[in-house]
This record gives sequence, C-alpha cells and structure tokens, in this order.
Amino acid sequence: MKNYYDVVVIGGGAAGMAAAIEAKNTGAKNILIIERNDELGGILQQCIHNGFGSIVFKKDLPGPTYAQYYIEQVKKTDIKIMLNTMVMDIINIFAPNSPSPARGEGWGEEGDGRKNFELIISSSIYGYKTLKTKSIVLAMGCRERTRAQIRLPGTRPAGVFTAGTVQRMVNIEGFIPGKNFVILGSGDIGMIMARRLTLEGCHVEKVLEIMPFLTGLRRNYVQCLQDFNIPLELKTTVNRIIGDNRVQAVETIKVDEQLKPVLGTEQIIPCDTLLLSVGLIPENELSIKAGIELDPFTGGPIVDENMCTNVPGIYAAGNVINIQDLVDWVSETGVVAGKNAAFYAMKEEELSSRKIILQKGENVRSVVPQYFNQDRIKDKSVNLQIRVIQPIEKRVNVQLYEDKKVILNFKKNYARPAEMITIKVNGDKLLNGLEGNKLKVSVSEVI
Amino acid sequence: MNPLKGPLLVSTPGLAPAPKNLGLPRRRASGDAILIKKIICTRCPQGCEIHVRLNDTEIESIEGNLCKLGKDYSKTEIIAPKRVVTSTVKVFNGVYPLVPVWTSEPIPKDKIFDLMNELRKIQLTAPVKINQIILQNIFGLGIDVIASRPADVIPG
Amino acid sequence: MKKHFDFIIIGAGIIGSMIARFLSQYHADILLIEKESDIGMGASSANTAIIHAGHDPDPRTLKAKLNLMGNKMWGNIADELGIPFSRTGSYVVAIGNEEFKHLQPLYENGKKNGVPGIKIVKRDFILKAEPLLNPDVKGAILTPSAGIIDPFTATLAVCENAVRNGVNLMLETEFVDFILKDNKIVGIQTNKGTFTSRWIINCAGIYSDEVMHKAGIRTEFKIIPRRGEYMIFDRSKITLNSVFFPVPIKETKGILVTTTTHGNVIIGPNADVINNKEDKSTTHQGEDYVFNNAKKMFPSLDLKHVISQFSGIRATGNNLDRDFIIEIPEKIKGLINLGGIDSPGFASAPAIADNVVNLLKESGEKLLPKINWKAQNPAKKCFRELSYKQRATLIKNNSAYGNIICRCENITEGEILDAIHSIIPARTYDAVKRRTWLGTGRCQGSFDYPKVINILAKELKVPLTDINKKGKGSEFLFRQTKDLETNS
Repeated sequence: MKNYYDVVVIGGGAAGMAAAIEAKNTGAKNILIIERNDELGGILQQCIHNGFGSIVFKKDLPGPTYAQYYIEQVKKTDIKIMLNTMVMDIINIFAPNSPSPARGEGWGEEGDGRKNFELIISSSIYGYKTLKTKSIVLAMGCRERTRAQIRLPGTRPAGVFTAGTVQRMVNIEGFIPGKNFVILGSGDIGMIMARRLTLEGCHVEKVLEIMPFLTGLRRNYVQCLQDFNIPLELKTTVNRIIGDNRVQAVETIKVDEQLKPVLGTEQIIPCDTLLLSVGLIPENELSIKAGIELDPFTGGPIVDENMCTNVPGIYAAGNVINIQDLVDWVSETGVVAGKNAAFYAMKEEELSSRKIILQKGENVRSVVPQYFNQDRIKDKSVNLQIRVIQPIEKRVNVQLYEDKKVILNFKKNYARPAEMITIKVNGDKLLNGLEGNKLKVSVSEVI
Repeated sequence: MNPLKGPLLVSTPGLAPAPKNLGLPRRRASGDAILIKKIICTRCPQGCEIHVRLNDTEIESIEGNLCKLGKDYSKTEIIAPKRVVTSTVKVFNGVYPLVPVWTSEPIPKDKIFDLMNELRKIQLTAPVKINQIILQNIFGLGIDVIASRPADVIPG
Repeated sequence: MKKHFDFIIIGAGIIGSMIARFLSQYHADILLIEKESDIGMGASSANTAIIHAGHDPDPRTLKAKLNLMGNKMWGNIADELGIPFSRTGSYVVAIGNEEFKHLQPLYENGKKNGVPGIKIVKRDFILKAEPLLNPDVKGAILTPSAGIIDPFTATLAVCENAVRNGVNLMLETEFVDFILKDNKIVGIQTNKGTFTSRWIINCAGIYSDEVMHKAGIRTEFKIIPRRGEYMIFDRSKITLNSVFFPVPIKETKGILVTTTTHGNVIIGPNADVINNKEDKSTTHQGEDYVFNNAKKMFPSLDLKHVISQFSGIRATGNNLDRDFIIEIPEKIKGLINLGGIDSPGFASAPAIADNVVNLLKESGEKLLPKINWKAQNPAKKCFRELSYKQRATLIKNNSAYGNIICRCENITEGEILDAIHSIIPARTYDAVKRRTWLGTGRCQGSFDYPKVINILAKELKVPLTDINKKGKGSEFLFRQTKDLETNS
C-alpha cells in the first residue's frame, strides 16, 4: 500500500464511491477510498428495501443493488481501497504551525513534493500510519440522534435502540432484538423498520411522532404502516421508559404547539423494545478536527457549488453535508465533489472568486450549497437543495431574491420537511439579476 | 382544475382532517350504495390523495390524481393491490448469515406473508450472485425472488 | 470451592473493595461477595466523582474525621493504582450578597475540621479562575485539597488489587441470611451456598439496613434511599477546570457543577426520596431542577449539549445525626457493621477501611502483614492516551488495538478484549463500557452495539442471544431473524 495519493475519499458508501469514480474519470491518478466497515456500500448494505435509483437508473432498486453497481465500477478501476480502517485525524500541512507527528517518518521521501494533507489512519491490517494526499473528499455519512440527545427520562434497561442499529442487527447480523415494539419518530427509518419487523414476525404496537405531521415520505406511511394496520399517533412522544433490566413499557404523552408535554394525557404501552427514529446528524467529528467550518443548521460543512469546504482541497459529499432523502442526490454530490477534488489534485482547480452568500428566508431551514462563487457559475447550472421548516400542502413559490426584488422563482406543488426541494439555478440568469452579493431563499404559499 | 386545491382530505392522522361522509355509503336516488375509498398514491413522492368512487365493485370515478400513473395505481390498488417484497434469506458459509432478496415485481398484497413463510424455509449456500433467482415463479405468478446483492464465501 | 474464610465482606462497592484491599495486606482468607454481575454497580459508579475536602460535615461526626483522613490517603492510593485523580480544588460559590453571608460559618466549619489551605476568595479571584461563572458571584470558599476522581475506575482498581493479593471475589452472589451459633455469627447463607467465617463485614450500601436486621442489629435503623440525577455535557462545547458547589441548603450540598476526569462537565445531584431502592430513573422534574440550579452558577450551560443522563441512589441512614455507622455491635459477635455510608463516603473510603482494620485489631485480631503484598496493579493499555509512536508500536505488536470500535472516544478492540479477559472480567455490555469508556460519547453506542455484542459472544463462547446489558434479564437479542417464536 502506497503512502501518498492524489485524492483520498473518506467513506466508501454511495457518496464516496461516486466521488472516487468521478475523480478517476476526471483524470486523477492515485485514488484511495478509506472505509471503516469490512466492505464498501456504506449504509446501503443494510437498506434492503427498494426506493433507490429512480433518478440515476430510472429503476426502483433495493439499497444493496444500487450499491453493487458502484462497487463494480470501483473494482473495474485501479482505485485503492482500505477496509476496516478509521481516519483518526486530518492535518492541513500548509496551515501555519500545524502539527505533523509523522515528520521524520518518510516525510518528503515519496511523491513529487507538493503534499497538501496528512491523514492519520488506524487499522488492524495496515497499522497506525500517516498517508499524504493532495485533496480529500469527506463522505462519512451520518449518525443517529440518541436517547440522551432527546433527554428521554426513565430507567436504563436493555431494549432501547436507535432504528438504524436494529436495522443492522436484523438485516446483516441476523438477529431480532425484541417481540413487541414501540417506535418513536415517523421518519423513514422508523417506518421502514416497522414494516421489516412486522414481516419477520414481530409486533409493532404503535409509531409515535412528536410533530403534528408525518416526518417521513408518504409512500412509506402507506407501505409500512397503513398496509400492516400499525397506528400512527401524531403530537405524541414518549414521556418515560419503564423497566428494570429490560424495557417493560413506555409511557406516552401528548404535546402542545410548543412541543411541551400536556399533563393528564399519559398512557402506558406495554412493550419490550423502544426504537428511536428521532433524526440523523451528519458525522463530522473528523471535519471539526480538520478545521472545517460547519453550518449549525445542517450540522455539516459549509460548501460552495463545487462541494468545496472552507479549506481549499477538502470537499464533501452526501449525508455528511446535509441529510438527503434520496440516494440519487447523494451520488450526484459525490460526482461534483470527486470531479473537483480531482481538478484540485491536478492543479486545475478554478480560482475562487467573489462569493455570493445564500441566506435563509421564510420557511427555510437549510440551504446547500451555502454560497456560490460568482465567476464559476457563469455559463453553468447549479443544483440548490432546500429544506423547509413547516409543511405547505399547496403550490409554493421557491424564490431567490435580493432585498425585495425576486430574481428567480420556481413553482413546486408542495413543500414538506421530509422532502428536500432541489432547484436548478441558471448561473447567468442569477448573475444578471443580482446587484450585490447576498441572496435570500424563501419558500412560501402561492397566493 | 387543480385537484389539490383546498386542505388535503385524508383522515389519516396529521394530514388535514377528512371531510364528512367520506368512506360512508350514501344512497343514490335509486337506492344503490356508493362507496368512496381514499388512497394515497405511492408512484411518486407527491403522494396525491385520490378518491375512488365505487358502485358496489365497479369503479365509477377517480379524482385527485395529478397524472395517469395515479389513475392506474388507484385502479390496481382497489381491485388487486400489489407490493414489492424485500427481505432476507439464510446463507450457509457466507461472510454474513443472511443475503437480502426481493421480488423484482410487485406481488398480490395478500400473498406477502405466505412469501415470508416460504423465504423462512430457505438456506442458500455461498457464493450467491446478484440477481440470482432464489425462488422461481412464486405462487405461479410468473414473478421470481432474486438476490439483491452477491454473497461471498467466508474466507479461510 | 473454598467454603471457610477469616473475613467475608458483603458488597463490592468502593467501601467493600477498599476494606478487602486493606485486609489483603495481611495473611487471611478473604471472600468478597457481590450480588450484581459486576463490582461497583451501586452508588460507587453513580456519584459526583469528587474527593471532598471535608469542609462540610459537622466537626463532631465520624464523617468529618474520616473525610479529612480519606482525602489525604487518596493521593497515595491513586498513584499506586494508576487511578485518574486530580486535586483541582473546589469552590463554594456565593451568588449575590445574601449568599455571601453564608460563606463565613461554612468556612469556620471547614477550619474546625482541619481542611488544609481553606480560604475565602473574592469575586475577582474566582472570576479569573473560572470566567464562565455567573458575573454576580460575590466570593467563594476555596478548598485546594479537594479533587476529582474516576469513581468506577477507582473502585475497579482497588478491587482488582484486592483480588491480585488473594481476595476471592464472587459476583452474582447474594447474601440471604446469617448463620448463628451461640449468639455468634459463624457464616452466611447466599444464593450460591453457605460460607463460614470468623468475621462478616457489612458493606451492602442501600441494603445495609436489611443485612444488619438479619443479625437483629439496630432494628430501628433504616436506609432512606435518596436518588440524585445527573447530566453530562459534550466536552467540545463546555469545559471547566474545577469543582463548584452552591451555598448549601438544608440536607444536601446542592447542585454541583464540576468536571469529570474525562473532561466533561457534569451537573447534579438533586435529592428525591424514593420508595423502590432499585429505581434509578431520570425524570423531567429532576432534569429541570438540576439544570435550572446549575444555570444559576453557569448561565452559559445549554441543554442542547447534554450527551448523557443517569442517577445514583444514596444510602442515607435515618439515624438522627446522619453520621457513618462503623461499629462492632455489642449484641452479637463476628460482625463489623457499616451503614449510612453516603456522601462523603467515597472520599472517606480509605479512612473507613483503616477504621475497620483498627476495630479488628482492637477486638484482638492478630493481623500478620504479608511481605509480598503487591501495592500496584499492572498498567492497562489506554489507546486514546498514547502518542502517535506509542499507538503505532502497540498496533504492530497486537493488531486488535488497530481496530477502532468506538469512534467517538477512540476505543479499540484490543481494549475491549483486555476488559473481557481482565482479573475481574467484564461479561456484560455495561461492564465493558465502564472499563473501556466506550459508548459514552456523542453516539452513545449506536455504532458499537452490534460489534461489542459479537466480541463478547465470541470471547465468552456463548450464543449472541445470551449477551446482556447488565446481568441476566437484560439480554439484547431475542432470536435469529429467520426463527419464529413457537409460543408468542
């Protein structure tokens, strides 16, 4: 295994594989994918349900089938893969006073001299060592919100799991962790697991959702809950967990408009397992170590239209930027990141220019990318992804405006927090209408 | 006419409240019963709420769909609802104890648990190829159950 | 199996373990029994993790004397056993003039107790030491000898050392009754059989009252279980350097804001009297009370940064003076009776053990010191504390240390294997967690659960469905995916 690369992709899931393949196609020579699991594919390998590939392949595929396409593409190339390997730290060696613990160990011995980053990796196969690379694509995906983060009171018995952990147990390890389940959260993972567990002979008592609306896709409500008569209770949450060694019941409670518990509405549901599907958080431990600026509303790096973070040479792709609902978009961001990471490594990166900052207007929770580079979006179209705060079940205007002037307007049939809105922004049209460098994005009802 | 004007008429909790008399039989002047079934279409993420007016078992009208896919879906959903089934089967001597499988086409909804029972009985032996046929022509429907991914032999 | 001993200690919390360690210095056959699946699962691992300076207890009490002595002794013991311990000093903080008036009597109390270096400091001093404090702070009592410790690691190290020095430890072994002969206790009945001994030492914590009642001792004494809730914060969002008490109110030291030896801020505990001795729930009201009070001292605390919540149950006695009970009862022979060891129990532990040894000596026990007593434990490998070069070497020699299992805290498979095969083996998920610190960070185990369950099953050579969280009855997995329950 070499110690120096042109592009290192951290994470071998949907985003990472797409990035590595595109980097190869763009012309980068030495590419490495580092993956902590024992195979490529990331989270797709445990997502055995269909719903993947409607845009990329015009098919409706199970997660592992979607992943397999990319795995085969990667294997056809000379892209190197390190499995069972964890990236411990990223050091930008051109930053002033940056520490380089490996200096003295092969420093400057290999490669052509211009080394931009050092990565420290840990692996039982490859040992503890340092790799050097010209550019990086962060594709670490996301993690699940935990019981502690929603501060769920009660006892601490066995039988409280996040939905993704159970998905792995059931689909890959081959074990079921309970008999009678209650699921907290109407996000897609929770609903998918409700169906999965029911099909495998378990009993799902109820799905609870604290918001007054479904937070996952409607299709999943029909095919996972309605099909199996699993009740969904909105404006309801778990008030406490009951049980000493193993979960014995949960106490549910209704909430008001401020999401505060309404005393007197408590109900006990006997069960032996509580599944938490209460949100996904981009996995950015490493990004923070690398000095990358994060957007507090997405939990992921602030990126531009090239998926470049605030550190030149470090790009990001997939769920690590923002939680996506369709894997097709994950692959898309991987392609953009991979292409530009390759350009950077080949020293063909476009110079950054005046920034156009995208600000959040009415009903907008997050916008990705968070800024455009003015010179770079000429003659180009850029995808903008928007997540709304409140659902609007009517025609909406998605507007890009400056002060009071609307520069671009897109109409959509509805706006839901569960579904990211993607709009294709024509760079020339935008630049023609823009005077300054601040753009606001809003989503509102068509009047 | 935009069929989505006005509040979304779904009685499933959390989407707007259902209008009155939806789903309850009414009487025509002639005395025949009319049933209105409401369906959420799953052909695309939009999830149109479609109202199918039934006269006994005959479909009288379909309203609320924004496209033809929704119309087709509603018909199938009322007459013969179908679902794609995804699951796993046991693998002997593989890297993992299970391999994911799926019905490449939707099967009748009332056959889902029968299929699950059949899948439970299977034990494959690694290696398994992606798209390998696991169960052929299930229940005489002309639909196969195939592997969603390859399953490699456990090394060593 | 050995059946006769010189000493049997009931309860392997910090008190029982410390007494076992002290006694292991002498030639004696010692049995330490613990009803749970691991040592230290009671208050010993669920407390504020402070070695108190001793400014608080009434000077007439045993608590005051033993706190002072224990505080001094912990320094040596922590060194010997490689226990994370740091004399950060502690502050009793007065917000506003009214609270400031209460500092003087508390200071006098501390001085009477002999707390070394105790002094009152003014606003400027304390704000310089800790800028995050509420700017309305008027002053504080500083006790430089107070410190923070890792309570479970300490209990484990002390217990492991006792076992290393010949103490027999039996887990999942529960005291049932005493065996009496002519008004003398000659042994005990347990769920694992009977054992005879010349002395029984009652270190049963919240169950110490039930144990002593079986000997007909102090029938009016009862443990009033008082539950205290805690919250731990993300250390990348807030860190502190010291221990901060509020001005005390009534029967509790109040809600502390302090740092753990892992660098996380911890707040708590409140005090709820509970009926069920096993009820370690956390509650909405408890959370509100703890947080709102902590916020008075540190306004920048944010609930969004909480990464963990838990509670501990104090073994508070109903005796009038609420003092430690450490005695040889008059009514019956063969028993050393301890009860009501709540705060400052952990800080006092070495002194309590010393006190028990003295009681034994005074009663005529000839305790012969061992020549080859091992004061230290072999060092444990802690991957995340090693330097780059040390990590590389460690992994080269044993590749299991290269496999990172807990991403947030950088815990390796090697350390998990060490915990499972250690002298007091970890056999449950929680036992692995307590020893290695895995699953305590931001992801709280989501990623490591399946891996650790697999490792435990492989190493213990049991089916995956046997692996549990904290003992029998807390198994994680019910059945294989493709098996169906025969009778649901």
